[in-house]
Amino acid sequence: MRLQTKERFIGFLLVLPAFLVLIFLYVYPLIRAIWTSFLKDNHLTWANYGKVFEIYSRDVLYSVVMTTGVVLVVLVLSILLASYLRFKEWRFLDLMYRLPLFIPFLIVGHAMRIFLAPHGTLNNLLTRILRVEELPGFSRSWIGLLWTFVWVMTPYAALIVLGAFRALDSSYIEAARNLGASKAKVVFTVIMPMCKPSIMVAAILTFVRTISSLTIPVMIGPNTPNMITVDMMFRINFFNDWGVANALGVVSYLIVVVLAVYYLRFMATERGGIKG
Amino acid sequence: MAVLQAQGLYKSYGQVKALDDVNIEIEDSELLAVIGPSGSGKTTLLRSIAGFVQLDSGKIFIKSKDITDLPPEKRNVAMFFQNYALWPHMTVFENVAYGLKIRRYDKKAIREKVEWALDFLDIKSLAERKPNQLSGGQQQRVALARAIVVQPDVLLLDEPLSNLDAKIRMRIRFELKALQKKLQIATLYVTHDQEEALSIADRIAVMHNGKVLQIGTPQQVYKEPVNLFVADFIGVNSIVRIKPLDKDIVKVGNLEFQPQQGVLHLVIRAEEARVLPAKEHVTLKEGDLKLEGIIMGKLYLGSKHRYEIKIHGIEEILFINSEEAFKINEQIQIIIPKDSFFVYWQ
Repeated sequence: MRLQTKERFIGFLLVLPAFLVLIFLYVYPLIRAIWTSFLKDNHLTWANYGKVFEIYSRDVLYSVVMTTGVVLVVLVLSILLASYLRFKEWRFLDLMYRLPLFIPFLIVGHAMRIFLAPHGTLNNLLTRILRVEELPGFSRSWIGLLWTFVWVMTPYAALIVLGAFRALDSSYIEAARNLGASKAKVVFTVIMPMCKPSIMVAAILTFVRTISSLTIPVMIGPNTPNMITVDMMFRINFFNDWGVANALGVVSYLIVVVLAVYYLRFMATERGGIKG
Repeated sequence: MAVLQAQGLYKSYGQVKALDDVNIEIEDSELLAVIGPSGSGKTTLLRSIAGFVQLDSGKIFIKSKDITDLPPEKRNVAMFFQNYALWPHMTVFENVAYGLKIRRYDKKAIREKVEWALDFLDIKSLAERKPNQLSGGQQQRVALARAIVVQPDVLLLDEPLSNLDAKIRMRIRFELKALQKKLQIATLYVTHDQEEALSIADRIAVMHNGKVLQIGTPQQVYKEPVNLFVADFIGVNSIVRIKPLDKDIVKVGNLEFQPQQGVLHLVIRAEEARVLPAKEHVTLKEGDLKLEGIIMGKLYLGSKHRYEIKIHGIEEILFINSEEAFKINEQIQIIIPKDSFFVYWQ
């Protein structure tokens, strides 16, 4: 009995560092952010949330729509890329698609500003090809933001999706081809359904990383509407308004939580565990 | 008429020749078993017919049509995979219906054909189950139903029984043979189990190092092996190797052999040899081999014993099964009928 207590204590000591990190760097800031979002002039109130819906509801919607759009485009590109590399070995492409993984967001933002500006690299090229004098720049529009997010997020998602596609036993693919299915048909009817959990992970990670990104929307996004993170930054930098900033943070957190719950339920169903 | 013809197939992986001038033909309704040890090229042959291996050279014809350069989906051959490769996200019905959907059959025709295949393999009750809710034997039937429902020109079976336990395997052998005869599909059956091949095949092709060493009926391959490898690979054998001294006659038991180049290899079908007490009088037929020796060890195998026997004048030990009970150190004689041992010089 005494030995059991001692073993338990050692076990507790072993997990303590990880537990403390979790408490101080995740649980405490989260609780504090939620708490602060309900404080105004040292009183508990819904006022900050009222302001969020009054001023920023369009931005919240914009953030969700933009992020969903990014996720969809990224998934399409990742699946196309992963499908191609699953069937054909091309080392050059295999290496190139990963390159953006090693480029910091700040550099990407700056590069895209130059590339997508009204007189940037892209327009210089297009005006010459199309023989027109002027073209609008994309660098401070939703198109530029979507473009840049897709550029940054696709390699992460493709890495996960391709990993899953490659891990799939070839016999499942060969069995389908053997019965007359083209490569495209095999992707839609066999590979994608069998790799659904990994595709879900890629989608959710892309969603979370996009909706919580600050650098890229600040550098590329339009002045209005804004992503939630940019609004939070303005609320703190220009108004020192931590209450509304935290309320915005809690709203974005809730959006992600909805996804997380959906994902956990999906995984439980996939594994044949808890359903419904 | 030959349904499948493979002519002069070559395939190398670096220095290793997986297929080395392979020529085979399968007649209508025939079951050709390809056997050989691991790495002999049998699976490469099967996969090249299915279209999953690109050949270095050679031609493959199905019903006289050259399919060598066709992609797998255009060959109308159905392959049965060793691990069954049933898609886990589909029900049994959906798995079996897959090939028909791809071929754009209408819903009614799909239902009818799938029900026929499920009925044929006696798994109709499993139609709505997912593969992970099936036993190994049931999965095997579903995989077979999926392959036959599309009415392929050639059925390719890759070690179909290897994942089943020994008892079920024995039963399924009979069923598989009956099924193939009923369906009348030209079938290529790859296995490393020679007993399985002997019992199920119309003809057998023995492969080694990418070459087909012998093609023939099970009886031909068993009774008239063309070389030492085939003789040794088929059946349960003991091999005796004797290096002749000078140009003397080589004497083994009661028989004498003229020396040739190399070493004499005597392959004995151990399952057909009889072990008798040394003193028992035996009338030998012409050409029968009689060896005398002593029991060195024995293992109890239930209905019989496996004896470790030292033959007088020969270094090597023979392993032979017998229903008779002998004691250790007992003097015995072994009688081997003339068509149950083979002599090769190499």
